[in-house]
Amino acid sequence: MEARKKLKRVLSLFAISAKMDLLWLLRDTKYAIAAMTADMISNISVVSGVWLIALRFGGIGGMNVDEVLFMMAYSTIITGIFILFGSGNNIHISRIIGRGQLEHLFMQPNSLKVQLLTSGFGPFTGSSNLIAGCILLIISIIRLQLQITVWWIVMLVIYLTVTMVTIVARAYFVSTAAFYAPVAAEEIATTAIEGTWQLSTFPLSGMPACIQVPLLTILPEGLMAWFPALCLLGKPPLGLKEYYPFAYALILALAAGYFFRKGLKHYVTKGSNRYVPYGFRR
Amino acid sequence: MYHTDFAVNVKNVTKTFIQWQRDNTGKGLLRNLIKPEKLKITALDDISFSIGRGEFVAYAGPNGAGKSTTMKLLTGMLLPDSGDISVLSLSPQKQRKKLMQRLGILFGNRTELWWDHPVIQSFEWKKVVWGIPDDVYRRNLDMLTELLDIGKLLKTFARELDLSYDVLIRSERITFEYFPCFKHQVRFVEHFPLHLFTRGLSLPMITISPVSSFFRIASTAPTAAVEFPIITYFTSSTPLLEHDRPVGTAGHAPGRTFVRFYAKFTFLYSPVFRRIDSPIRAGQDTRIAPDAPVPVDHYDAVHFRQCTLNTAFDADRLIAVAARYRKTGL
Repeated sequence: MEARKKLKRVLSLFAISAKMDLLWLLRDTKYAIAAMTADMISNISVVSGVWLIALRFGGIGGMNVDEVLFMMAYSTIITGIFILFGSGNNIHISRIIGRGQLEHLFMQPNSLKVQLLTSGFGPFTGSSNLIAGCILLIISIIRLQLQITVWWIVMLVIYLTVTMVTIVARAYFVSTAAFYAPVAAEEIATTAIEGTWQLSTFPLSGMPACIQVPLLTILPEGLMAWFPALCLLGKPPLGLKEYYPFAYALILALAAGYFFRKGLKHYVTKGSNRYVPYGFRR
Repeated sequence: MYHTDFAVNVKNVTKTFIQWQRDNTGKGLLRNLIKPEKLKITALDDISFSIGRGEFVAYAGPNGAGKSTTMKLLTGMLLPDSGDISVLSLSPQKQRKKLMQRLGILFGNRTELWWDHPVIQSFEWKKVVWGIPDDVYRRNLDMLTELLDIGKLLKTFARELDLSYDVLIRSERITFEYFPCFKHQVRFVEHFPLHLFTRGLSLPMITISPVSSFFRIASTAPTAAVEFPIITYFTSSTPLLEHDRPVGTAGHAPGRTFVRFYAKFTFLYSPVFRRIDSPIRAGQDTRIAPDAPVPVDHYDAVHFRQCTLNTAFDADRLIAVAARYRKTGL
């Protein structure tokens, strides 16, 4: 009963975010369409650049053109999901912490988790990349003549979820710094996320191991699209198992959870040190 | 252990902050690199006070006095170093979500007033987030529409007015500055606690205020708490803020002193505040006759000049409203 009540609450919060997103779209449709189109063109431009290189040279590092397209589709879908659920700085969490806006969340009678999960939901203005990614995915699947089974679709969904967990966990992990240095670390999540976008669309196949390994361990850029795409194509690279992204996401999420809670405790115990004798940041 | 006979109960609460110091000299920069100097600021030092149901309390003090810190402790945003806090018999630190269902708080932020939507959208958002029943929401909204016919004001209160709180905590700036004149302030004070909230007189309302706004509140809010240490503070040479514009540097210590003294002095209901150079003794009757001239201090002079004030009428009304509230010793 309690679980159903909680689920209903979460759904109602998603619904009000969706409604407000739709109303915003309908209120200023021209601007909204322009923004969505620009968003879509921008993202497709990023992935099409890599795809055109693959087209010109008949593939990149052992990945053929259609496999590159498949990877680009995966990357675009990830971007789409990110924008779909992260329109309200809820993933760029260091902005909320650094600006002292976390307190605003404390005023609401919902858990922080629920608020952060639901507050950035924008299905109408934020779905353009997801749609574009799905179209690219279908095209690449047809060109690759992949045999699509229910299990494969389940695996696709799981990989997408794992990638999102990795992105969010990394953003939250680095954002912990904003609890201690709110001004300096206000945009640290943006730095981490933008870095992800820039490197994650490039196929690492053919690169030396000294580049591949750090991008699968220290910086998880290789896990954003390259590694999961190859796993879904049945070719996990570097002799690693298909479940490597799961293990990585789990460890990162646990670490992020631990340090974020620690930072939050520091925040509510000590207060924000943006109040300093040489000027403060509101 | 939490007391149930008060809406708000704060007992022996202490809160300290660590402030990093900076030294711009070469030696200082080097020292900061190796071992930064930190200063311990005692924002609240063993404070205790209680607020009963139905009281309307102004919690005033200069910048850095610890007003906002107190409110953040009352709402579970910060943890105290020591002491007990209970609001509506709930612990703000342990039962935040449950308490937030019944408590309204308004700081200087506007995150709940969605900037790219009409005001009504913010109301609807709050309805969902707070789970307000349809009938309560509709009734409060109708009431608001009728009561607050000042567009600017309506927007200002968008975040709180559609709710039925048990306790309302608010910052002063977004409260009183938007009232175009004294009459509107009176009207607001008269109607707000009585009609806006379903629980009517049982609503404790805490207004926190820096010194500049305190006069406005004290001048207009018939049941505002007027504290003896505040008067002492004003008559001292300590620099103050004037209409939110600094006229000097506000110190930290006087505020803390005020907070410490808060619980010890009589809760006065002063329909119209006296001049700042007229110290009020604790327990002194500060009511002013309806035909008495309006005491205008230099802080509120501009404000009063903007208004066409029917002194006697408004003073009567203020006293009438004040009489509806119980006079309480804190």
